[in-house]
Amino acid sequence: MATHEISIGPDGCVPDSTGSVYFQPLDVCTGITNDVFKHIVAVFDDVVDTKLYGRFVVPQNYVGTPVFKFAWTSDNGVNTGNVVLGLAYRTVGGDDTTSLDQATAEESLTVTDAAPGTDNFRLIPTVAAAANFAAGETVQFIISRTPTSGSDTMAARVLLVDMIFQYADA
Amino acid sequence: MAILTVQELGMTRQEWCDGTPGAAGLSKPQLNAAMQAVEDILVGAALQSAISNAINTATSPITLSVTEKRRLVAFVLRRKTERDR
Repeated sequence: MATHEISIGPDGCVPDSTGSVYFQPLDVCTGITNDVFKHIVAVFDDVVDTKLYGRFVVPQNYVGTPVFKFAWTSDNGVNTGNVVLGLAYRTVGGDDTTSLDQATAEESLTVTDAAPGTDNFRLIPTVAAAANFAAGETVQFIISRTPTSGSDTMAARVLLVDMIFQYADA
Repeated sequence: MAILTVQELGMTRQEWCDGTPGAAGLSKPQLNAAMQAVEDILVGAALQSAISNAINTATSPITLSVTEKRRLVAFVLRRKTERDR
């Protein structure tokens, strides 16, 4: 049994209509000074609750132990406070058997993570998911930040570099 | 006595943080408390009465309505505070 990881976002994701979650090159973000690596990051403001929508396909060698991981850092060199991140998803499988237009999530997960101890350091909080997945299924998901939560105490934007799906094969 | 909505508070906090590297080491609850302390002074009866009386003295014998005074104060504060941003 080996562990695998695939990036499921934020590339290809769609922001909600709040205007407080958006895409930006890393070098444009406040606190980034070297400006050498300029890949896209998803930015979650510290203003209102926001959501980022995406989907991926469960790899054919998937067997179990699903885990979601948020690769993120803070904007503006902020090293104080915590962030509340969430991921809700629904699996859609079969061939002409299941609707892609579902009304609810299958599971909603949240994780509270502390700001980086040093400016721009990558953080990688993990959250285990239930065994709802099967190889070949489409997974629709929603990444969220909840700055209005009393547990979200970091006064800075979240820069989401990668949303990762980790699993085990046979 | 907070008058800013949650969204306004968030926008204000973020605007301040954008010009303050590391948010000066403050957490969100600390910043919220500081901003709400300023709010409390601005909407307090003592300050509002003092400003109203000062305007009355300046414009006598004409007395501006509350709305006219509010707009006057808003424009003066906007110009004044732009220098401090």
